Amino acid sequence: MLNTLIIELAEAEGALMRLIGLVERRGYMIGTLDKSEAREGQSTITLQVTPRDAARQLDVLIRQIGRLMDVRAVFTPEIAAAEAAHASYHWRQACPPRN
Amino acid sequence: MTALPANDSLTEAKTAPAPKTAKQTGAHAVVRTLEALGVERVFGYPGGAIMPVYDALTGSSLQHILVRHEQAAAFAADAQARITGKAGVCLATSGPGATNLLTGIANAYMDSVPMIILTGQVPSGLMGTDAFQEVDVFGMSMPVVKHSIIIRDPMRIPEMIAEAFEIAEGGRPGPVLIDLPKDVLQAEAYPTLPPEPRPAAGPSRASDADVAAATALLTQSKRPVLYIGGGVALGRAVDAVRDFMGRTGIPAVATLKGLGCPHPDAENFLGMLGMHGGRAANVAVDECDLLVCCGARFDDRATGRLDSFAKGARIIHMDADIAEIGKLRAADAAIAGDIADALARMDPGYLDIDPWRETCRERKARHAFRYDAPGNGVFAPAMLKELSEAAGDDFIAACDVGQHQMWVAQHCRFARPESHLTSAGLGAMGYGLPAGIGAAMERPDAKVVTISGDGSIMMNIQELATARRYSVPIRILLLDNASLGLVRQWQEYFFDQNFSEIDLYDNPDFAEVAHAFGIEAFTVHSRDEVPGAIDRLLNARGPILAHVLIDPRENVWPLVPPGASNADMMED
Ligand SMILES: Cc1ncc(C[n+]2csc(CCOP(=O)(O)OP(=O)(O)O)c2C)c(N)n1
Ligand SMILES: [Mg+2]
Repeated sequence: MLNTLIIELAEAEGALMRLIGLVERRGYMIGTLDKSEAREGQSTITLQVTPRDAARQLDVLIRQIGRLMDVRAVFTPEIAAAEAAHASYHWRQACPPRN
Repeated sequence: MTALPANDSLTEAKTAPAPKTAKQTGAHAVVRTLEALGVERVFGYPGGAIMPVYDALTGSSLQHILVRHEQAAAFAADAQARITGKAGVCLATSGPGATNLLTGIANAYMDSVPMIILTGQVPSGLMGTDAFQEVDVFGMSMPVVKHSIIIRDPMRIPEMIAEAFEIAEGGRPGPVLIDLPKDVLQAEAYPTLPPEPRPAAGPSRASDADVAAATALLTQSKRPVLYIGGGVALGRAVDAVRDFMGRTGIPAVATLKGLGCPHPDAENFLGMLGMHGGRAANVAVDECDLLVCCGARFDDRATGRLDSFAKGARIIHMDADIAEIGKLRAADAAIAGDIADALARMDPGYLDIDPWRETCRERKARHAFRYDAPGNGVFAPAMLKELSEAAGDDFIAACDVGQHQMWVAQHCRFARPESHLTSAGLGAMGYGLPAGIGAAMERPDAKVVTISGDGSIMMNIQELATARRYSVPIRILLLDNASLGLVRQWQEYFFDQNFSEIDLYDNPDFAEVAHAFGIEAFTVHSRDEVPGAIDRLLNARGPILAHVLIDPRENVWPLVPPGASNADMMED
């Protein structure tokens, strides 16, 4: 099962390493990885991930990524599409402030 | 600190030329920022890369506690933080100093303890060149920190340290590592200090809809159980939980870290669940139709075989950290945010659960622990029970890891969650002595008792020197079964009694060891000496060590075999 994740990441020392490390440690293999150029101290990371076993749940991974201090937002294309259509879901609304 | 003119005559001071202030460096900025943030004590150990900070400590209001191994600095800071709720601070040099901290950092991470770790680092220009005492502690610690930073600009030291404290203490707390290259510490720098400690942002409030959904599940339930974890204390929700238990009468069980949250004498508190939980607690969870999880995370030591844990129950999951919800067990209703606030808003009215409550209470009475062990040897569970009762509400236990740790959890009485300091998530032997030191320094008037085993105490025995150096009011109860008892117990039942490498027949005489460190100590051989020993321990100013000889064949009961359901527990 291939899943796409889009992450808005602050350009901070170690931010990318921390993100990649988390994804692998939480039981996912990274198939592809794309990092945009940084703009206003932030870049967009697009990952394609596959769970190592069937018990892994993508929504849990998304919330674990959302917990990282350097992560500004994390989406799937479905969430992004819903947002573009002015649907109300955004992970931030489902998450308490991280501090 | 700004140097005041030495002259105490005001008029002269006014006319005198401005005092020549000493050169300020990044290291001074570190120390003065900690002072400004209200830090009073740091635990540490010096070395090359962190020497500028040690230099700047001279004349500071910070109390530096010199431990004898960096791991102990982290454990002591951790214990202090568990008691105060504010980040503990530890300090070490680069390379081996930093790697020695790692176990302590992981321990704080697993138990969500707020902690600031300051590590020296080789100068920036040498980073990445395999320089002397260079290790990438920033990279090595990444999986076990809430966040970490390398400070590259001395002018940003105050701001970045202040932010690190906010992160460590806010939301779900955790350790934050700050790596400090030596050139940054030595650079001349006069940054503005942070104005005052900024209060950490509180957790968010659950929506009315979420609270209503959870309340509806409660009103439909005939057999509800509260499952209380460490998140209750972290979320300052202890009083809210006690109030909720009182209002609703719902039976409650606690995890290892949840102990002390329900009032220990509450009649509907059924005790600890899990691998070494009591029958009343495990069976209640097995039979319940609704499990209200408050700040717990379905850890495998608590749940046993996950797919049969509370198998017929719906789940309300309350946690400050939304990433915990649904991680291991799907929730039927979720409250992500402030547990205390949500509990206060949940008012299910009269719950028709009297028969269930009676069943639970009756089972609790029937399966209460027994203390009438035969023989004249010291029966550790009885001794621990008597010790905690004699110490009363001021009791603080700092545990090590092993059978003795489980006996403490089962048999001691904890007035508050801060009364029970234990390495729960990591299960790190060696925690007990340094944690006891950190606790006793923070609460010198409490009855702080480190309860250790003959295996565990050797992992940080050098800290007897710290206890002695600072005359720490700590009592050490060393339960000596001349073996790695918990491992021995597993070998007895799950490895065909193949007792492999667990025999510590050649332990030193621990009372003599303590004496060599200049610490009062005595040995307890038999049951009739126990009351006197408890008196002596509790009335001593400390440090003091009681070396208690116990039967190596004594085991921890009940026991849920690994991989089994909690309902299938083995009993003595
Ligand atoms: C650092 C570390 N190493 C190994 C273990 C595995 N372990 C868990 S309990 C235990 C035995 C502890 O012996 P002791 O401190 O004497 O306690 P007892 O079980 O005998 O009460 C061991 C080796 C651990 N938890 N931590
Ligand atoms: Mg032992």
